[in-house]
Amino acid sequence: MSKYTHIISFFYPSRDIIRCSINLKVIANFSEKLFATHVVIKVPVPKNTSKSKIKNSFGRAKYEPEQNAIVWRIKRFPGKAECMLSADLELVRTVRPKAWARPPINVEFQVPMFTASGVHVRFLRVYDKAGYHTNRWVRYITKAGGYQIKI
Amino acid sequence: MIMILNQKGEIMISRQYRDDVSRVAADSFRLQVIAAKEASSQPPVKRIEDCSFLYTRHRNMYFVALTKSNVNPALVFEYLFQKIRVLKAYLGEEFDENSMRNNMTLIYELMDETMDFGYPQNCAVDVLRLYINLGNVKPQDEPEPQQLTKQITGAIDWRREGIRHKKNEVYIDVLESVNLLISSTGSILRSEVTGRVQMNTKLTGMPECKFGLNDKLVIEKETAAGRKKSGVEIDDCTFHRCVRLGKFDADRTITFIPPDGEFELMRYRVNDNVNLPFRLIPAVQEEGQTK
Repeated sequence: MSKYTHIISFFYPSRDIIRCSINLKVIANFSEKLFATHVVIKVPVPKNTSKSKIKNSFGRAKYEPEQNAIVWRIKRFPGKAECMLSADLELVRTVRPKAWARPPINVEFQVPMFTASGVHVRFLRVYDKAGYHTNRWVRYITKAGGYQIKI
Repeated sequence: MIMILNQKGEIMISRQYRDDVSRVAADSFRLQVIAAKEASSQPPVKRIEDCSFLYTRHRNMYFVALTKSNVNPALVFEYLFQKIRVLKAYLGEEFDENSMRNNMTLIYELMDETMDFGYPQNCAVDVLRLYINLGNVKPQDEPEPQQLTKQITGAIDWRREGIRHKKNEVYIDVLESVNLLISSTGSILRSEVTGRVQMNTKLTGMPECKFGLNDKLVIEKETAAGRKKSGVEIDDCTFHRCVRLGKFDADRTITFIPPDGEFELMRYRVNDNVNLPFRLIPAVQEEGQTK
């Protein structure tokens, strides 16, 4: 027996950890004179995410397990700006592995003085017998309804 | 007949405008709709024997319209929604069973004023306020009876005459909501903008207003006259009832005598050439998927 060296080789169960990386680039497609507020980008991650390493250029990004998503909040997003987020995730293998359904990325925002349709008010004329002067103020705001990007 | 029931199905208010349905019908409504759980997921129209029940809810109260004739359900629901709006204006946004009970006489007055023989009448809060008040509050200036008749029967029931403002001001808010769905390959599956034009007018007298957007059809007409500009193609729009639709159909000008204060002038929808405020480029890599 001593003549032989028994080598039992095995793979360390590295398969128990699955890695997943997400890179996201966001570009503001409106004039640099404007800015968006209340920007919230929800990047879905698999339910079995155990660790996350997130790097982002501005705003605050955090993995929120109760939402199964990385939630990236940017208070003020200037027009024409670009920003990046990259996340390295470690997933635990579950007993019955299911393919991740990959729900879409959801974006919320408000952009004051911007209309997504391009609609603007050309005039408002007021005619009255008294012929008085009228002051007018016009405001615009565009919000996200369902703004979703599949991944 | 219009009834207001509480959560248990007890009649709080009922007003019979015709003799076709009796109060007993409330029992069958209670048994078949309220007692059957999850009433909210059921259709808002229920036919029991030969009587139609059309209903909606506010908090835990049921607003039910009962009829035996073949009515226009859209009209009935519009009336019920208006009714709730009117009650909100009188009793507060979150009125409940208690505030209803404390204002029985007021509500009956409103029931009589807003509907006659089953036909909806004036439901405009501003005008109703002129002659129906919560007992202790007397209107500041009693309107002339002649003016009142004109308002009840006249075409412009959303504005009373003789409004005065020191400063004449108009605030316009254009509010848009953009919907987008992009596939994982980056192609646009759906993009759409829904917009609202919200106004707040503080104007003296009975002013006639003309409102213009950069609507493609209007712009094209002007381009023919020598100016070059591109307009937006508006796919669909609806207006506040003060807008003269005949005039809009004829030459797409939006003319109206506005109500005093805040109101929603129009809603619209745009499907083409949507300016997407944000572009997202995602890249996802999953590893270790293979066994």
